[in-house]
This record gives sequence, structure tokens and C-alpha cells, in this order.
Amino acid sequence: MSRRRIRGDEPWIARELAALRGPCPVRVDVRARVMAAIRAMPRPGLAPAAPGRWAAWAALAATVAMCAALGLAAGRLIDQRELLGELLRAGGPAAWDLVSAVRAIVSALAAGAWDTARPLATSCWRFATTRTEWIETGAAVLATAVVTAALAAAARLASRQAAVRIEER
Amino acid sequence: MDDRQGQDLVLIERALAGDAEAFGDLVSRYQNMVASVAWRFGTPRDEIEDLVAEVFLKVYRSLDRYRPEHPFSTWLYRVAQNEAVDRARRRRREAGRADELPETIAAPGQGAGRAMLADERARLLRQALAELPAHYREVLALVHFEEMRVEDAARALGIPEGTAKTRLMRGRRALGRLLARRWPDVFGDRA
Repeated sequence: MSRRRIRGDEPWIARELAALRGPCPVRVDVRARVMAAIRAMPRPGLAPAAPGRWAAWAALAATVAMCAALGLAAGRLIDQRELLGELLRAGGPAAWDLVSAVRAIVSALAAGAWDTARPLATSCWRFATTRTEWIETGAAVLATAVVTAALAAAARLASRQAAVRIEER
Repeated sequence: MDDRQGQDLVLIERALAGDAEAFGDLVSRYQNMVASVAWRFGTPRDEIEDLVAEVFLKVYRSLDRYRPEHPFSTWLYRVAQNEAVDRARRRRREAGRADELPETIAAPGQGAGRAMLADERARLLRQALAELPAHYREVLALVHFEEMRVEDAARALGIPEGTAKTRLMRGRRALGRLLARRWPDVFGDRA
């Protein structure tokens, strides 16, 4: 085998390919056909698929955010249960929820039992703070839902506007 | 950027702005080039018109993604080549083994037989080309069909000249091996 052949320089291939070079025997005129088809199509870059894709990304982001918020909320719930346990331990059976715990604190303070009232009040404060966070988490979930709805509405509007522009053309 | 390329760019911008006639001008300008690509890559005569229309519709749909760093004609050539190759593969799949090429070509008589043999060689060559990796096929097509110089083909494809040379050399070698291995009775004596 010659050195040229080893290097991949195959003159016979070049000759074979040259034989295919002849002009195409078919003359085509597809202008009218293509024009008719593109008149029924959205303008490049204005395809309705684009807002759809945008909405899909927005929905995905919103879902992730909602999952995170719900995860956070579940965490808070566990904290709350722990804190309720704390309340029970601190205030006894009388403090089985926040209202009864507050009532128990008031009773302890009235009786001058500061040592009983203080841990109960601390637990109550933490419980109340957690409840506030729980509300914040709920608000975050609600806000995410509102944003998702707004994005979906915007995507629908963009899609409708694209359709109107196509109609106008 | 040469005149033709500049004119193409103007037509593309107008088409993107909603001027369908501008895209029609691009169709008129390049439809026979696309038909030639289809023919060279083995598209049957009766399918060529369909393929050309389909290529232009694909190009129209993705016109906003065209990057003017490379000539429009090269981009179009690539789309046409891919479409022709895809259709050739689909045809072969659909035809199954019934359309598999014979291992041995029957010995033809003189005259008409020689023409038939040439047609058959061309058909096998087109089939082998369609099976090559796209990056080899592109350079081979531009250099051997369009008779571009390697540096021009490299520029059109947006690759370094050295890469184009390497792909050209490896592409020829791969094509030669493929032909000799698949149809030794037809091409074995050349490899």
C-alpha cells in the first residue's frame, strides 16, 4: 500500500464523487407552494410555542417554590408539635393548647408562681413565633400560587397577541 | 461579506420583519441548489420537489435562529443535506431488506449495461455517503460536489482550515473503506 493511500488520500474516491457532480435533472419551482404554506404559519420567532415554553418554565419554577414552601411548612408543623409537647411539660395538662397555656400563665402569675409562669411563657412565645412563621409560610404558598396564575395569564395573553399579529399579516 | 451574502441578509431581515415575499425571493434564488443537493444524496426524482419545499419550510420556521456569521447558502446546504440523508435512511428502513443492495451486481452487457452499472455505482456511493458522519459528509460535499477550495469550505462551515483538511482526508478514507467492505464486487478493486 502506498504512503498516499495510508494517509487516506484516495484519488479514486475523488473520481467517484466527481461522477455525482452533474446537474440535477429536475428543475423545481416551489415558490408558490412555500409562500402558501408560510402564510398559514406564524412568523419566525413569534411561534406560539415560545410563550408556551415560557409558561412551562414559569410553572416549573413555581412548582419548585411551592414544594420548598410546603416542605418548610411541614418542618414548622413538626416544630409546633414539639412545642406543644414543651407546653404540656411546662404547664401540665392545663396547657394543652395556646389559649389554655396563656390561661395557665395568668393563673400562675396571679398565684405568684413565677417559676411556673416563666418557662410556660417562654414556650408560649416560641409557639406564637412559630405560628407566625407558619402564617408566613402559608402566605408564601399563596403568593407563589398568585404569581403562577399571573405568569400563566401573561403567557396566554402573549400567545393571543402572537395569534393576532399572525392574523393581521 | 460578498454581494450575494449581503443581499441574502437583507432578504432574511425583511422576512423576519414579516415580508413573506422576501422569503419567496430566497426560495427562488436557492431552490435549484437545494434540488441538486437532494439529487446528489439520492432523493428519487418524484420526491425532489417535496423535499425542496420541506427544506424551505424548515428554514422559515427556524429563520430567527440563523446566525449571519456563516453564509445563508451554507446553512441551507446543511439543512438540505440532513433532510436528504434522513429521507434516504427512512426509505431504506421502510423498504427493509427488500431494498437491500445486492452483494453482487449482475454482469451487464455492453452499452446499456455499462450505463446501468454506472447508475448502480452512483446509487451505492450515495448510500454510503448518507451513512458517513455528518461532519465528514459536509466537507466532502462542499469540496467534491460544489468544487470549493478547502479553505473556502472551512470558512463556509466555520471551522479551521486544518480541521477541514483532516475531515476531508478521514472522510475519503472512511468512504473508501465503507464502499470496499460493503460492496467488494463493485468497489473492492479500487480500495
